[in-house]
Amino acid sequence: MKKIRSALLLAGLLATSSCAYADNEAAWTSSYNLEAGKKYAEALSALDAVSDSGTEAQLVLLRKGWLTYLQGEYNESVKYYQTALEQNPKSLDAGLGITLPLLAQQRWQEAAMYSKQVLESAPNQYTAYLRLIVAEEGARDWSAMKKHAEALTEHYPSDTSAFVYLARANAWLGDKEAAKKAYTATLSRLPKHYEATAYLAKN
Amino acid sequence: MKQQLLLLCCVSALTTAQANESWKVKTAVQGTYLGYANSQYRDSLHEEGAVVSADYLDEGGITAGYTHSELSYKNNIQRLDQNAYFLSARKHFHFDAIPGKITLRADGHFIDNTDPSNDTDDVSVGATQASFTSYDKKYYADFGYAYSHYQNKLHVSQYTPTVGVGLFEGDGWLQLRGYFIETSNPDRAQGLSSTQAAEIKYTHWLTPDGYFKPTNLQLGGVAGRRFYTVDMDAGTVANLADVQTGGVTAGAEWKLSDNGKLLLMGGNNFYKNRTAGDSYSGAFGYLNANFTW
Repeated sequence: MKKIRSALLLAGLLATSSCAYADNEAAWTSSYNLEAGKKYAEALSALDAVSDSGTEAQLVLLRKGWLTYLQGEYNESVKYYQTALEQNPKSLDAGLGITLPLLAQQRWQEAAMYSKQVLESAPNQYTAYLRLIVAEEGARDWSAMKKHAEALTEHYPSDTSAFVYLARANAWLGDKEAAKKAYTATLSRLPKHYEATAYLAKN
Repeated sequence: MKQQLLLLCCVSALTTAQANESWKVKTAVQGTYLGYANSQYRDSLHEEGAVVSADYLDEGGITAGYTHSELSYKNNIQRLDQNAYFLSARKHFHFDAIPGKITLRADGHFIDNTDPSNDTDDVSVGATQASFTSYDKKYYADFGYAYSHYQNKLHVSQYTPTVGVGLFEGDGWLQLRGYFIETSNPDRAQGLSSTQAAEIKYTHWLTPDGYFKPTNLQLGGVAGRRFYTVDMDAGTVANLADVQTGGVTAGAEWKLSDNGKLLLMGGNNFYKNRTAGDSYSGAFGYLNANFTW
């Protein structure tokens, strides 16, 4: 009798756990599908079914940060990413994620700060470099922008964006020759690039 | 003395802030020389000062400034020496429902001089401003209010609505500001109970090209009448000026280094002392060298 009771209990537990897993999977599936259909608010609501204190707590926060960002709720997005960072300061996902709403709000200094934090943990990380450069361009800090764009061209020599940003920084610094050189390099990577073609035609 | 101590504390705090990367500290030294023409009483005015400001990330910032002025008169009238202290704090807000940044600002001015009549001495001014800057930097609006307290039964209220607009794909910036100033005691304000003036400023950014080409050119003008003006852009109080009846300014800014800039401005302002029947002009030169740490 004791054995039968134990077996029933175990079966019950497995059924509950499997049911919760199925519920979670359905919620994630629904959220991803709704996002694909650009129904961001509904995609966010679909996550209500997922516990935000369970094993996927970090993922829930990151996803909420992303979905609120897509809806233009930048302050909410910043809060979700900040909470994710507080829970896991090593999270590069959260460090990069928070730069998105900050850049959207033109909070250049804060976006640059988080990008630099990611670069400290993951030196030469491409996205962090790119967002740092965008923040520096927004803040019109041409010298810093040049320095980081140069580094990006060294680490990612096939990347077009790196050379475009380097060219822009040089142009703003008044170094026409360096700007022309970087725009010429841009055209080798992406022939007929509009901005590079226009600059080289003018200068 | 209290003002000096307060200013010293602020400068000390701002300098400490410099050590932290989250703070961006900017220091500036500036000087003005103004020579009066056709005035019966005034000869010249020169001012020297320094400003330190610190901004914490994109959250807000504080500014402290000091200006020493010397106003020289004709006819052996004793020179007037003045010390002016300026403190300002600002906080930025980002609301998702508004496509731009809201900034709230509060300023305080404390002025001490050797005016024997005390009419322009021990002046204290409190000013506030709420501003909106669109994220695309195409539109700007603010509303400012300043309350100035003078000795000998005078206080002045100033309202300054302002609009700004970006032009030429971001290369130009046009700003219009109205000055609506009310005085509590016309007997102490050259018979004026209120004055109105409009100020226009245009800045055009140039593509850098060589060391000598300025990074931007500035033009400005004032029409109407304004008295006891508080200029929230410059952080100054015109407690020593007579009624300003107009003016034109032009300027250019150069980049000295990655972090240093030099602004040179000049212009001619027109004034009237209604009590003495003295109409005159003042040609001025202004130099500002600033460095961001």
